[in-house]
Amino acid sequence: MLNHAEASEKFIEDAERTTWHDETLWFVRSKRDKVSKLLPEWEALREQASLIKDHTLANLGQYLIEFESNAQKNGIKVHWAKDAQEHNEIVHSIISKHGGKALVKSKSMLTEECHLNEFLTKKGVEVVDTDLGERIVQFRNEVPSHIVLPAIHLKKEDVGETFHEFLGTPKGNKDPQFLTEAARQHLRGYFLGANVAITGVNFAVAETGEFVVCTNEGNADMGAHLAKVHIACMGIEKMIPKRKDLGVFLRLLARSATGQLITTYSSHFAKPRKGQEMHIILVDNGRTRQLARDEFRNSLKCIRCAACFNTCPVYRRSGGHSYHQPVAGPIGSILAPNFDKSANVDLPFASTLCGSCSNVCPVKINIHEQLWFWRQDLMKDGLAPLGKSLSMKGMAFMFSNPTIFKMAGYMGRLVMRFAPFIVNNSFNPWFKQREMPEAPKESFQSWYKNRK
Amino acid sequence: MRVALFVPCYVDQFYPQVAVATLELLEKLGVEVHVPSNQTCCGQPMANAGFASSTEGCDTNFFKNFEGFDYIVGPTGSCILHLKEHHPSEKIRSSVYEICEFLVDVLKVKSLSANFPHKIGLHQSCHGQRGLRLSSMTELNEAPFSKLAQLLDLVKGVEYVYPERADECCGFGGTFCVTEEAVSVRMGQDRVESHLKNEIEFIVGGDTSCLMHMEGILKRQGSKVQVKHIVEILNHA
Amino acid sequence: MSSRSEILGAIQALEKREIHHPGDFKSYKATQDLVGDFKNSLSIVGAICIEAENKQKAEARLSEIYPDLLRYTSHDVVTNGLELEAVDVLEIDGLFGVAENGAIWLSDQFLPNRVAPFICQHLVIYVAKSEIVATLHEAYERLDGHYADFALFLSGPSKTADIEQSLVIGAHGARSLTIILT
Repeated sequence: MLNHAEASEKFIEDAERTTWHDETLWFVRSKRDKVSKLLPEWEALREQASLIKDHTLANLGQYLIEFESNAQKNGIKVHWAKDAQEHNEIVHSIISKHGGKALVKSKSMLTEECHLNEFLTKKGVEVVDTDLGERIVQFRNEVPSHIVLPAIHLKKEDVGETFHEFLGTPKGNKDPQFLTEAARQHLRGYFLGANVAITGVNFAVAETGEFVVCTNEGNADMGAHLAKVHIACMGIEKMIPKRKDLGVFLRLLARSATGQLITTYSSHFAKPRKGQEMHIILVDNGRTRQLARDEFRNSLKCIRCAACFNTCPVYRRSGGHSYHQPVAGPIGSILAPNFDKSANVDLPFASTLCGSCSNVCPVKINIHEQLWFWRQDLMKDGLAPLGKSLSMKGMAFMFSNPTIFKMAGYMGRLVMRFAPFIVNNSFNPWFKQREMPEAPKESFQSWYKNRK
Repeated sequence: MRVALFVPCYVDQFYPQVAVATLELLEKLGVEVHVPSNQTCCGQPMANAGFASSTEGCDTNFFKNFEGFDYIVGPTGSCILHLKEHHPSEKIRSSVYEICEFLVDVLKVKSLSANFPHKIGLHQSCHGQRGLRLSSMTELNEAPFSKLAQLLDLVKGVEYVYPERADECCGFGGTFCVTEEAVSVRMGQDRVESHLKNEIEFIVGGDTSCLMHMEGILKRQGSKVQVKHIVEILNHA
Repeated sequence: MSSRSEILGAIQALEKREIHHPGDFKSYKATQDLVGDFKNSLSIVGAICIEAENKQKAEARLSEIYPDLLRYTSHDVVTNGLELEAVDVLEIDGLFGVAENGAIWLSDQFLPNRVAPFICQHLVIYVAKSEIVATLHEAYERLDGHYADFALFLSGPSKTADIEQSLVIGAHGARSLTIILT
């Protein structure tokens, strides 16, 4: 597997596509700016959302119990899964009972995190992703590159080719309207025939035991209302205390995500319909571990709007796949080390720490500060080889010039301590595409001495 | 008022003119400036690479050099931000100032004798802007302000313009500039291109590291456009 | 130990932190022109808006908008057991609208069934001008204590921009949405 820097280098090789990717996502950020500035209370809303989430996380156990009890009263079957494996097994056992061979699934980053599709496919169940972007990447045997815009790494020509191959659309037709219509027709059949529908959950309300699912396409509702069984999968951090809190989050979510005023559909599921079975799976999968860490706890406030992706100058120029995780971008980079430190050691370093991510975050997660904290944590754990290469390359730049190298004894000692091989290594990545600064005749300190 | 000049290591070695301009400007404004001679680095390069735990010697040395002053002033937002956020001494954290911040908030400068009859592109470095709040940020719903622009308004003849995406990062990012070389360079190229669209003669900012990065790109492209630290403009006769 | 007690146990083992709920949020400025703002939002979200004093007056305009299509009401769907896929245009009642985002609250108590507003090809919703609130805060205020088994805020027709960010109306749900303000 390529690390972020290597994968980015490949992505950037196609300069034109990189420009397109950057500009397209910047446009989404601009739309977000525009609508957020129309609300005089925008910053107060962010603060409110942040406080509600802080409060919820501090009382998570109590709210989970309250939610469970109310959901059960509503006739929803509640399951608990401590990890991805258990989550997948619960889903499979429900499907097995109903003899379904195919199921329709709307967007759920949790199921991506748990690699549910892979698991079910191995068990002989056909999973049909019904979000257009997710269906496109599913055909291509890829993973989403963005949590809100799953196929943003692709051009319409790519989609045209994929649909020609899988849906028999005319070769060369790349009209988004035409291709979307083809997907609509193709997926309608699955909606009408599926026994089981899986959806994600945007918010679960402890007070009422209901959960809210937001989409623009209507695919979650088409699936859930036609299938005999509805399974909703959620991380335990999706909890909010009260129904009125939804007003705060629904005002922030779509505005932050796409610059819309609200998603087309914000569906509130409280009870199964007559004759339907409704299940909800509450998944931990590392969340309680994150909850215990002071520096990283508030990453659990995330509502998956992807505003931090769209604003991130690194993400826009490296593409989602360079993060090699279901959730890419700045938020993905602070979530991933919780799952596997050594596999994701590169991600907290895939940032200039510019801080734009924290500024757009609707729940005020201090993303760029957490990136910094993860760097400390991972290096403390001695996570080579990236750590080694980091110090090597980083220090190599700083010390490749003899003027700098001679500068101070303590720095020299630092180099010797972290990267002794540097002194003899002439490789300098700065110089590849940039000129080195010119070394002046004398340093400031020596000028200053003479001045006196 | 005891004021010390903090000269970050790479400014000392590569951009002494920036430190000279800072010193001269402060003196012109009637400040008696001390320059501790045993100062080295703020520790940021190591800390941002994940080795904050190894900056103890660096922190101690900084403390020894600067503990006796009311204000510690330096010409780079990034180093100042690092000290403000991570230096173990409260005394140090509360007395470090970036030069523009010091001029506007402490000295409350209302006039300058500077003259710089050129068109410049203003680069708002992230750590100065978002970290030290030297100017408003496009992500937030807040009234626009800029301490850098406020100072430039006091300079005769200068015309400053912002690039498209006024506060996008240039891609320097400390060790990021070499560990993520491809993205760093691409970001820098994009930033430089946005500035060049405005037909400017200089790219001007408050963080020498960003300027060094963009200068490297400009030079490689054979561009005549130069970079300058804002104090060089504010001190320009 | 069950996963339930394992998860709750892990949470309960953490140090107790006292953080209070901030209370209900009040929007800054109540809009002066609810109907005007609502209509503006509808145009932003891609819905068609017709003002009509009553259903009869709306009739003419609907025939213009959907000239060759058969229109059904909730009542038709329920009593005649229509195949929902066959419904070209469905006319339903919305409970209230939200000025800031063009959303309309639909509750399954007033729907022929849950899938109806999604599966029909075109959707028409009647909303009274007197039933428009400023923001989602007022909306949830109004909903306080009123629970439905299933309900939703619907704003505009189904849409996607998953191919190159080009907006396409009519992804899986209704291809058009007409709001009749009575």
